Amino acid sequence: MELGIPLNWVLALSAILFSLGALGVLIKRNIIVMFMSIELMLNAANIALVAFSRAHGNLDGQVIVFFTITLAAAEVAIGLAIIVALFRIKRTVDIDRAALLKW
Amino acid sequence: MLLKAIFALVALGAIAGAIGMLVSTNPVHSALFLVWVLFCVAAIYLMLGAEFLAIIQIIVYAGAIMVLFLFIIMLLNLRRDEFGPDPMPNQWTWGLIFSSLLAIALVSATGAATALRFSGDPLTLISIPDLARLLFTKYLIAFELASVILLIAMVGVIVLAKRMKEGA
Repeated sequence: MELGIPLNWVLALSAILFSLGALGVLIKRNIIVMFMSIELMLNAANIALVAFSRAHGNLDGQVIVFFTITLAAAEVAIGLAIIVALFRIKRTVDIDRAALLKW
Repeated sequence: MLLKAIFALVALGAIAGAIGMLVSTNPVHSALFLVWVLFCVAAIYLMLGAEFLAIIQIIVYAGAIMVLFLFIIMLLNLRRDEFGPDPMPNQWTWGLIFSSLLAIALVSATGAATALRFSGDPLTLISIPDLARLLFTKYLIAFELASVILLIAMVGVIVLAKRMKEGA
């Protein structure tokens, strides 16, 4: 039985969500919301991986998504710790104020 | 046909949630919109026959990661003026131009994928035992390395979040 959803619909959704995540990184200056946009981009890539895994009928794509979610958990923990450390120094979450390394 | 309609509905919900995340100025609202998007993504995983990933998505992403985000937002306890200033005048314009160019490029590239067709009934496909077999044979080393990475992340968070003593 053929699954009713066309593959290119799923890929288009993935592409649109990825672009929205990129838009969030570009327009936001609150570092926490920028970080959430990065999570959105990770999820968009995961959708594409699951869709291709389904289309080709093997599970390797799903295993990669499993690892991506694991790494996202580690990444979020580290990233939020960095944000808290930055907030202690600067008392703000404005990304433009985090210019210690900027020439 | 019904599945197509449900997919379109969930996809529109995810896109609307993502837009809501971007336009809301309060980070708590942004985080709640992102939780909604993650639930929609979990529903799409279910439609694609990836039950295990849908469960993991809800438990780990919506459950653990987003709670961490909300926890940090509330811990920092930002006042209204600390939410970050309004975007720079041209930031929205250029951001929209570049991201819509990206969206057009990516979406037009998906047209090449129409030749591929999904096969198998999504509701009878039981993939969890196969997934576990793959995870503990072919990807065993990667699995163990993932646990090491989680350990390193745990130690790293403690080191980063520790309040530095004076002169240390």
